[in-house]
Amino acid sequence: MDSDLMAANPSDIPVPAEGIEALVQNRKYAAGFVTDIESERIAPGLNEDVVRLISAKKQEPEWLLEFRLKAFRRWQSMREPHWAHVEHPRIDFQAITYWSAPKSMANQPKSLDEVDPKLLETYKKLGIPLKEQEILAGVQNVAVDVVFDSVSVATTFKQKLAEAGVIFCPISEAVREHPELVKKYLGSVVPFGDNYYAALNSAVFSDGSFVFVPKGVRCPMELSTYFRINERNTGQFERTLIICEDDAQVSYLEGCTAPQRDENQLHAAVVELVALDRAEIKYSTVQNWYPGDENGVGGIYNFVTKRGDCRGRASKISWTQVETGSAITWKYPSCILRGDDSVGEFYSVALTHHRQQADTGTKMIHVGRNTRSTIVSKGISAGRGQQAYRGLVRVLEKAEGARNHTRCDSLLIGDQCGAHTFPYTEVRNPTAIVEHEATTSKIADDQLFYCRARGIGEEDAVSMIVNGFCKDVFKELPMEFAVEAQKLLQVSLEGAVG
Amino acid sequence: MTIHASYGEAFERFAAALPAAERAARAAAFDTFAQRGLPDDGIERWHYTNLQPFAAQPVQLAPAAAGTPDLSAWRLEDCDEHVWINGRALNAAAAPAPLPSLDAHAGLAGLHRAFATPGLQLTVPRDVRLDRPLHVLSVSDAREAGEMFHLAHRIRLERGAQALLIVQNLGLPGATRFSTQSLSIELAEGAQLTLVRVQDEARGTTHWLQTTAEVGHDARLDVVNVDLPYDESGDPIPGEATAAKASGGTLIRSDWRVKLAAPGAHAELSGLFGADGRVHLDNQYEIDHAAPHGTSRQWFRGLGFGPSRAILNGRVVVQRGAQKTDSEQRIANLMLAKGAEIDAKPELEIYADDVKCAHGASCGQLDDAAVFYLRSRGVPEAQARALLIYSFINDVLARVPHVALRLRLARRITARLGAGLDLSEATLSGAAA
Repeated sequence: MDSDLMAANPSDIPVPAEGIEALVQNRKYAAGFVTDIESERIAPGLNEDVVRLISAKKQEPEWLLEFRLKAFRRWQSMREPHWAHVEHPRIDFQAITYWSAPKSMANQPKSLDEVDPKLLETYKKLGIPLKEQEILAGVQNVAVDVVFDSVSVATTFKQKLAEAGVIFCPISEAVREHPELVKKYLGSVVPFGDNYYAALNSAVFSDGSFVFVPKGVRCPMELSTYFRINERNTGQFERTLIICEDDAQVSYLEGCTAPQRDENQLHAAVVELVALDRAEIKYSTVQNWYPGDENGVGGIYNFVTKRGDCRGRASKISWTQVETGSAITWKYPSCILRGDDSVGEFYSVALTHHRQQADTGTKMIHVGRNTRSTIVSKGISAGRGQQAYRGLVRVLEKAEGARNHTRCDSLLIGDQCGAHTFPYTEVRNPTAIVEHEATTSKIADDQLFYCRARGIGEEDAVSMIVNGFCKDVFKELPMEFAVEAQKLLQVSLEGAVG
Repeated sequence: MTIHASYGEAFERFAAALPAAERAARAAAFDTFAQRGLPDDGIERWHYTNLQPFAAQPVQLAPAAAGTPDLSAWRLEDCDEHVWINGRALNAAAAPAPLPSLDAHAGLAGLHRAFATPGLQLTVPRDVRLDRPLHVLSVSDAREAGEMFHLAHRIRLERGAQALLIVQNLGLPGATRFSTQSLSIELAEGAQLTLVRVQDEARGTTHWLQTTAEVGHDARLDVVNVDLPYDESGDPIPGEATAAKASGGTLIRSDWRVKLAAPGAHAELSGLFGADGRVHLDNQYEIDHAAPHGTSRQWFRGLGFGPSRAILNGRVVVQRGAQKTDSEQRIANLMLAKGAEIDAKPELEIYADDVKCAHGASCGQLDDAAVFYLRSRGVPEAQARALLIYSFINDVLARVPHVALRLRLARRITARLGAGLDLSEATLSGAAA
């Protein structure tokens, strides 16, 4: 557990800046293993035939193929966006494999007992229990859907959820079982031509979760999806759709990992949330895709479009994200506050280390009257990491009495990293109140000195200070995730220690 | 990129009279413009403003003004006055000057360099303090649609020199017009410059200003930029709401690039705007901390008087190695009417860790409690609001060191508040103390 630094001479106080940097030197990616499992994958490349093939493999109805093809044609006419504060070599979209599935999933397993033990082993290693007995035994009370490369492996607790009227299943299953719902809501929040990566996703999306909570139902447990990229040179294009009808409530958690590889892999997801009258959706993410090594080799390009639509009166959508992984993160979970009195929230902790780059933030579009939004963003940048908060608050003409408060803080560790803030506020209603504040600081020597003078080791002190810095966000996470997030941050910052 | 043929014709005529070497340099600049056109809103720095449509509009170089307009209302008593009308010096032939170098969109910079005529060329020698302020009046007097001119000023303060410079852009009512202006400033060690810029362009103007400043060791630059509202509200320009979309509208874009180039450099940028009459007003302020121990402060106040779009982008860059930078930026806007839009973007870009950087932006209304407080003490509502708005903008106005000018600006803005405030030089000097 302890490193050389912990054993360092306690008299050497105050801590030199290099001390803090040394603490963040060696970070280990515990989820970096590869599962040796036979996969069925198609040849790399993208054209209309590939789109048709994916659709055929998933036995999709004609309308969905049409949706994919429309998106693909639009994507071909679009330009890759370059406004983000990130740098990467050109992505060769023809070198990516757009479909990969474990062979054992070819004949749809009927229950967990039929699922390839190797797959179950993978998730066990990642700490995600799939066996319902285990969960019932009190390990955790969370329904889980797991996605491995392009397909969903297993969804737990279906029965119990069905009793409450909640639908929680892979989106490909929802297309078969509840086509009317999918047809009604798919692409209604993020249109197929919304942006470059959303259009790509709409054309080739593989799997993801579908959640439907009917009128007046409060989902009896937390729902969770775990995404895993396993195959080499594949992209993962997940698609998640969550609908909460009037007065319904759900809390949804999402986690992600990928093997440690030298090449970059693309992850371009689309998540759509719809909240009707007085509905409430809480969406939490702990993103830990492989970040690449300390020289910036490998890692996931995480180019994600997440958007929630507060369609009903007094509805609420809350995004909480902890972003520690990925070589590049490009992600702006947003809320369209359409219904009067609706509420949008965004809480984010993003950490970049080594050569990671993140350009992340949110968009709050105030359309209805008396809509409110809160943004709390905490960015931590270490090593040669580049971190940018980019957020838009737009108050439209009709949004009488709209209110926004934004707070974004950056913490710099080391003199080679960068922390940037790009907030856009656009106000078109004279009754709106919009506020933005931001600070940038480093871990001060006097803070460290204070802790060390009280016998707290250096890395514990750094960890405490960072945790304190992120507290406003962690307290928004569901219990299990908050613990995981704190651990993840500690691992990311402390190197080998867990 | 296609540009209107009239640009080429205007350039042919303009360049014909120039010496060969200069003609070649300007032709190269013009070629860049022809290739790149004008910036569109697909470029992040031009996110809110699209100049491209203007490249397709017919233009002609503004002729020398027919007579000398009456400028008495804008004169400042105790200043050394320099007047340019339609890009031509009024008093004397301007000295030839090198082509300005700009840090801007290549096409736009090319256009400016190709056509730029010399404006103020000022060097203040070592340890000299100018005892009278300089008042530069750039007057635009367009009689025919699409008249354009391009003016380049250059100011250099040698070691320990000090000056107060007032640059006023004045538009006389008339036809649509297009002008660009560059202001390049160089402050050597310990020099101090205060620059007040007053933007008072006429309706139907498209104007781009770029100020680039390099602030040396322990030197100090103070900028106050005031965009005045029109004399009265109303919208005499028919057509589209967004000026950027219609050539008949008014589009004012000002870029301020201040580089703190050596240790101990200090810059204070402040800005105040009153936007109405469907103006599209885009102010871009950037402070680049390129050396350690630099300090910068930015204070901005905005008033949305009526249908208009005002953009305020305040950017602070702290380069690697610029340790011990101390920077603060505050943006506050008041929305006073329907139809106004204010877009604020306070940006931080930081590559060094031992720095103090903070920024804040807000957009809202007058505090009802403050209005109530004044009313409960017998101040009529309209006057209470006017007083509060005046105190709000005074944070910036008080930074104008020239009292007569400050009074003129304050009166001009408060005249729009609908309640007579009795402002005099005496009350203003009190406010400044």
